[in-house]
Amino acid sequence: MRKRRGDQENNKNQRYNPYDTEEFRINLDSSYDPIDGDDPEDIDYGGYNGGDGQNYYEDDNYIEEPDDYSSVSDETRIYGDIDDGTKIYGGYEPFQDETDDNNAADHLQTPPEPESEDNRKQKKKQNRQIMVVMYSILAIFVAMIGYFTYFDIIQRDTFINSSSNRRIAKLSDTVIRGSILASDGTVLAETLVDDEGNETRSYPYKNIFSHVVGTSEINKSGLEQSSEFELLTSSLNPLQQAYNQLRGEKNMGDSIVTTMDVGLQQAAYQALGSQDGVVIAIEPSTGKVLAMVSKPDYDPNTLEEDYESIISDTNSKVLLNQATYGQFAPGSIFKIITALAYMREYPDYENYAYQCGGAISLSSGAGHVNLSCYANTIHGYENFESSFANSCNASFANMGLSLNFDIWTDTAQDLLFNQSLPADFSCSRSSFELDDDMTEWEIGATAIGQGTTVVTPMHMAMVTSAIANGGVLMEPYLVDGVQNADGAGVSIHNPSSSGTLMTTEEASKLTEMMKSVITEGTGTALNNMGYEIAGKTGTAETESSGNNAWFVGFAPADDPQIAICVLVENAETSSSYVAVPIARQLFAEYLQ
Amino acid sequence: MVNLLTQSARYVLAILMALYAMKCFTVFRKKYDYDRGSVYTTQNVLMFMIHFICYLLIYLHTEDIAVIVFYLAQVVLFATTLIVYGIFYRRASRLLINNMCFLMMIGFMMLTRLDDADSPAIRQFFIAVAAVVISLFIPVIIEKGAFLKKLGIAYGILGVLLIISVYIPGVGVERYGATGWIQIGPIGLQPSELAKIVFVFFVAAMLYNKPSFKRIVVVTACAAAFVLILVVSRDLGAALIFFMVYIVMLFIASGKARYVVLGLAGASAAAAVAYKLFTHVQTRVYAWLHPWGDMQNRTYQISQSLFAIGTGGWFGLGLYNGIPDTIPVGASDFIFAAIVEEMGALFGICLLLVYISCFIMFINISLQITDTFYKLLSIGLSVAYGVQVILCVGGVVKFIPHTGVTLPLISYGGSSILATIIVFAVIQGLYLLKQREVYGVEKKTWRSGK
Repeated sequence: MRKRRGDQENNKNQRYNPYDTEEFRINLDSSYDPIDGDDPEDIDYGGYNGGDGQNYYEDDNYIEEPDDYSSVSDETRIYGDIDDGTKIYGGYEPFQDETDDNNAADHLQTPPEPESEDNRKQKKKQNRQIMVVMYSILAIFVAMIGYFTYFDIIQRDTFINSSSNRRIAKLSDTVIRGSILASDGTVLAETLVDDEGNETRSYPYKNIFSHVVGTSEINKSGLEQSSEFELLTSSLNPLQQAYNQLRGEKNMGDSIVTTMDVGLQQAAYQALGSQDGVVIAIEPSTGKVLAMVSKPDYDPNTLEEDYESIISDTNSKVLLNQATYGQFAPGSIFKIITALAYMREYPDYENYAYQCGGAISLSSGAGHVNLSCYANTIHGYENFESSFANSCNASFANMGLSLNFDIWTDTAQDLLFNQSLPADFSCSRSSFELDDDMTEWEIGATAIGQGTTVVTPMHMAMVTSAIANGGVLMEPYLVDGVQNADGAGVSIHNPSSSGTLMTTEEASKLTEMMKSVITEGTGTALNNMGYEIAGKTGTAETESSGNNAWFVGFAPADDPQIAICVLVENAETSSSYVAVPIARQLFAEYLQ
Repeated sequence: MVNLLTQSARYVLAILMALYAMKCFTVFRKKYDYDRGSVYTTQNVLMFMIHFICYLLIYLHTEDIAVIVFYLAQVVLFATTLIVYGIFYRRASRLLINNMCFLMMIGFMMLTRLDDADSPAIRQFFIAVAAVVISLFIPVIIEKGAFLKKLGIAYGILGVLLIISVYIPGVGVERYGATGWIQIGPIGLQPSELAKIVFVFFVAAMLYNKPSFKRIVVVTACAAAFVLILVVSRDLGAALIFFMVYIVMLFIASGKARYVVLGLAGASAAAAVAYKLFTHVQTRVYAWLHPWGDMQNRTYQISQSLFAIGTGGWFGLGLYNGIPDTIPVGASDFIFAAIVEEMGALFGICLLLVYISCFIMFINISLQITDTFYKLLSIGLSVAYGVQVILCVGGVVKFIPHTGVTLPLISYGGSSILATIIVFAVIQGLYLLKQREVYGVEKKTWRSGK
């Protein structure tokens, strides 16, 4: 059999290829492109399937295979010169084949056949399929590189400034921590370097900005934590940086320019006085946080010394920024949400009427219980608007009982309850829940903000800001931009909308109602300011301590410049006498 | 001063790396061998420059003489490898040799940087030396190995033995929450790395000769058994690689796309079942979806990895300016994060391009090879290699859930580097085979001369 094969092969060769090896080499070198992946056809040397040697042996009909090359189709001829090459291979003398004692691989010694059309087609098909596989895997590679790039451009920042990222500390080996500035450039935090190179972080305003600015050493928090990467990155001229490093000096890190208004923050701080609580002020048209005070507070300059004694009291709220993380019962300011849900369910709310007798009797687990108005005030006949202005508990409990839970829940969802708040700093969530097993009393309590609902002051400031801005919430932010140590801008924050919380009509109706709170309701202490104010008071009863006195509002009502949220904890009397006067001082300071 | 050098080296390294990666692709455009020659030589210069700069920095930071000795030993290894291939396998693909050496360089460099008491870099080095020596013989075996395609059943048995060896009491050990290792004396092995190669040989030997439907069913059942054992051993990455390799090889061998569709549908169902059954699968998916969720525990690995990558930025923090030693399994599965942290995302992307260039080269060889057995062999190994890179890097950058596979030639792990060098050598052998066919006339002349 081998002999026959050899003979035949030999004949073929002689007939076919007078093999001129040199010429063949040249031919090959110029045409053979082993790694041109672009064109599989180029390298489909179907004409000499060495590996098919096995087939050859098994195929009894091999003799009948066409060995007349004149009959090979044009398509085959395209690869002609390579086919020729195999003929040279086939030109192996048969006796060598037999004397070859190392039993070399079949694929080397089998005389290549001019393949049948079927075989050629199959090889081509296989190569097409391999191309499909290759392109699929390459597509995944490309997608992965794309994702990686996206991560490095978009998602990077959130990971860099995470408090769990321990890499930032390494940056301070070569960079002096930059300063934190108020919107007018006033220094809120800076690093002082003495002659021996010792660095101390200094906070000139002491307690006033403690929760906003935070601290960098112990209890890392606030902007010191969230903007740490920027503060420890130097954007000075690279040559200057290189020069400094050569001299063995650290480079000065970039400064953070915040949205803080020093005058307003000081006014808020003083107005709150010795009481615990929160004051937040936001510019509704941009989302800039103008002031954010949370008490109790601490002096960041001496926190390291005071830290042990502060944390020894496990109930202490000194280190907690209550503006963003504190969760409180909202009391009557929640009537804004109940009123909005009522307006959505009952478009004829203008026809609403209620006769207030100072209390409403509601069924509860323990029989009927009275839910009374603040100080048992009897409000008499009320419509929708005067119920809101008077903050009438009986009337709102009555409204709550007629509300569809789905609409109520949807309205609360629209106003960002039960979800993380859109802001460039992190906040706790506010929670609002209804369930079908609630008693009348529980529903009534929820309607007036007393039930299980809790809110963060920042959330209430955001809702107020959205009402002031025609229903559109601008995302609140603290960092207005970054500049290098020489004052040249590195980046700026552009205000962005975080969505529409309510329609313009709803916002303007709520504004009207909030104006009447000031003109004729519970907020009359804010009259005669020279501009109209819109607001809502709230006095939430708490189980443990005294009342939470709330005020949310904005001014001027027709062209809002500032939206505020005031919360005073443990108030002995109603909001009108505790929170409203603080609001007055803030408006007076900002809109003077 | 050292820091200034480190800082400027970030940019220099990124540029050199980009040039190297570029050369990996320009080589495909060159029509003639002598044009490519200069590209390869440029690559050699670039890789030794990168290697030198990195070790210079490592020395300046550690001031340890041993680093210089280790560096010189590596230079000897790489130079020898390049020269020896040049002499004995003159027609071997220089692109593959260059890339293999380059990736190993990056690996040794990073392991030296991450060095701890165990000195994994030096251990890795000796394994690599052994692997390179072994690999020099592989092309010969491939060339002479007509018997290779007749060992179908033997491969199957060897493969199964390898992957169930982790269950032999006293031999199998558990590491990183997977039962994927065996320990024989001082030598720790991850058998699935070697089983991968055996599996490809098995499938190629079983399916190359126009398989009947019956045979396809039998082989598929065997492949499913492999994958299942690996899933139970919690070696999810290997299970996925085996699966992908099999699907592709079956597709090429049978030519029927419906097997791929069936396979993928079956795999989706199997994945859903696995998710329900195994908590380790759930954990991986959870960490992928919620990297912030449970950072002390379930998502510790991925969050540390993302901190490293995010903080590194485009040019990295510079060697020794990061803390890659805080990344869990930073020397093996998560080494890509450690590299990106200190060398930068651009460096990381270029590294991926080098891997892609190898992959294209692998595939190219399977396109050229005409023998169906070798075609299947090379496509199987190509897919195993490509999928492994995707699983490793994808898991580290949170593109896909982390499956726990090593980065070929870079990650610490003797079995991994040994297996990858063998794969490169097998591919190299197939390449030589092809070259021999084309340039076969040379041999003929030589023989006549005898």
